[in-house]
Amino acid sequence: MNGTHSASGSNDPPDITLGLHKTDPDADILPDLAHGKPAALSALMDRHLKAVKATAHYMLGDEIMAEDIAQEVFLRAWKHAPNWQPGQAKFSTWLHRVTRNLCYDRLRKKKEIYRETVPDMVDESPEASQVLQDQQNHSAQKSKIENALANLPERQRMAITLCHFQELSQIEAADILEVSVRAYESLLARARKNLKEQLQSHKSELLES
Amino acid sequence: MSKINKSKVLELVSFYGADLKRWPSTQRQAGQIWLDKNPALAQEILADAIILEQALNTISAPASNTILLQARILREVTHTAQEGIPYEIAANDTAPTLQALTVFSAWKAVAATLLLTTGMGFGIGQVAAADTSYVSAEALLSISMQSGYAETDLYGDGV
Repeated sequence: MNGTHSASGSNDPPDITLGLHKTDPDADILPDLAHGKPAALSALMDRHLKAVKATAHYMLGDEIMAEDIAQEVFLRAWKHAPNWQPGQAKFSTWLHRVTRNLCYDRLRKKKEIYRETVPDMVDESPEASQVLQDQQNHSAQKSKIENALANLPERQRMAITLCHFQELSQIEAADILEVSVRAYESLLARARKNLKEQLQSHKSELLES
Repeated sequence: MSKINKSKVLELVSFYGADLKRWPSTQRQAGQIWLDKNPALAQEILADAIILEQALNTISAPASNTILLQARILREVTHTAQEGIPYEIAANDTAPTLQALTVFSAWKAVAATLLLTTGMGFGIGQVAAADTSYVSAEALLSISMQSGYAETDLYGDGV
């Protein structure tokens, strides 16, 4: 893929190489994607699918829903690629914005977050009971943290996901959230404060772990 | 290098946490120097943030490979027209490309064969659990197309 694909007929998609964002790391893929080449979509997924899916996972707390969201994001990338207008945002930023919006939509529809249940005890030996007890403690603690994250307002949750889990730069994260860096930092500060307050009563358990 | 003081460090920790890799790149070096020079204060300032980060790290998303999901998405796009392009043209453009995808580089072919063999030997459902991150989605899609496995065979029940 060389990014120099040119239109050759009236039915071809517009040549998106014109004015392509020079610093966009996906600039090499976008022309082929716009011309409907699945290999370009595959390359795009190699670069971004894991991050998109992980973001959806942290936002929704559910792996299956995260996969559905990721699928929808890349189908939209496929559909809209011919009309992509390179501008200030990178294509990956657009992908994350779509992810964000789909997650917000899903959260509004979702009434309960699926929580994994602790498995039934099958081995009652003392050793197995101890292992199970440890697993239950770990699972319970994990569940508290997941709940604390799930209880954050969606924009705060998105901010902490982009910062802590995705480790994006503040400029890129603010771009995805479509807010100023200052507003992004404010979201982060509120998210951390909120999480600390929710987890305050479990601080000693967290320290032990 | 930007100037930094206690109140700035407090502010940055409240935004970005205790791990400097998440701080703005322009502040990292100065921040590290300040923390190194003020170890007692640093410990006091970072303590709560470190606990929160450790807590968040325990819920990291499962590092599942995305190969089957990629194959699912690639399969879906073969039925999906792009905006501004009549579906017939998109489909015509897509068909030869998909055929072309069956031509892998040698290592991908070997990896795909190993994957398929594993699936036949131990049940195709276990393929999803195996570490297949080195096999491209195109390879898996192509295996599916060539072998005639139904989608449910590849993805398992309920996927």
